[in-house]
Amino acid sequence: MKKIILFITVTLLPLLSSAQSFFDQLEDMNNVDMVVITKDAFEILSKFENVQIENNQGMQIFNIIRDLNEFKMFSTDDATVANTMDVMSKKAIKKQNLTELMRVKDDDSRIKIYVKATKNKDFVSEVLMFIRDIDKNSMKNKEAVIVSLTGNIDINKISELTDTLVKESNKK
Amino acid sequence: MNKRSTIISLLLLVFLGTACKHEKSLQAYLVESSEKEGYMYGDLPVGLILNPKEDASEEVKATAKSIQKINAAFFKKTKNNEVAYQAEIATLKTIFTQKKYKTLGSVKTKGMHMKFYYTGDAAQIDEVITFGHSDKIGVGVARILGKNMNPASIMEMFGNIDINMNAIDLNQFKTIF
Repeated sequence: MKKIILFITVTLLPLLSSAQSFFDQLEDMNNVDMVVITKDAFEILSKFENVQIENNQGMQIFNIIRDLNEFKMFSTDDATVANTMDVMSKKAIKKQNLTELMRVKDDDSRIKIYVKATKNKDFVSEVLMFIRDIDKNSMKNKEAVIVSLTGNIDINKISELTDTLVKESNKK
Repeated sequence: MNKRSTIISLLLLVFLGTACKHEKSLQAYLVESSEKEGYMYGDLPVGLILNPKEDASEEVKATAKSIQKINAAFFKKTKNNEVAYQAEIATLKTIFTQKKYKTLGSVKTKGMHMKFYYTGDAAQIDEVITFGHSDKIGVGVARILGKNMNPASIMEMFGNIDINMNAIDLNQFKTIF
């Protein structure tokens, strides 16, 4: 009896680990910039009801944060790391059974957004964004950004945010 | 003493012994660094700096009182102190593995690592801590210490107080910049 329980626990354990653990390796790599915001921070931020936020992007983000668990963003301008991120994202998508929400192709940017659906059509429990800039001649990855969000997320607000992000990266 | 009370007192001893694990706290670390070689240490007496305006509400005054002090310690990285620098980072990292330090977030950009922690709970924060290190600059930790600080009322408070810059002993910080 004990053996069966042990076996079941060990098998279930990997399923319980969060999506984010896929990308933890990136944290220690050189040439990777990273921002992580935890649930506690979102809880505290959501108490700032009276704060005015200057830019539009900030405002959009603020509206989304109320129901977030964790936010992670990794970015790199190193081609090798960008390829690693590409591979990692694909693995995460498969493992977590994420479905594609949106694909954007804009000049030399490629953006893909994946989500984990919930019973409610407008909300998802996880969003994974993979953005990459490619060299148009070689079609190779130059820069990449991974954004991972978990929580109770309204997907309509996410697509608004993506539009803003695309415009920002084109300004550079 | 009979056998039962011996066992109970032994158990109590063991329990107490493990409870006082002597984990180094951030407080102890900060106090030590004010004495250590190569360290810059600053202590801001918040009470003197934040002065609620005459017409401020009781709530604002109470919030201002809830912030007790701000202190910071900074160890500058030089060509020769790589080992000491890494040791300080390791010590601080160990301190922050303690359960009472909850992570707010972290930022890593261009070789600069920063981590943000707090103690207490989301509506009543006791400390807010920033821990940063960069191979080019050094390692430092800054802490706002208070009693049940409420984040929303702190934001509101900043609109209703005068900040007394004269009370800040800027000489303490001159060496950093």
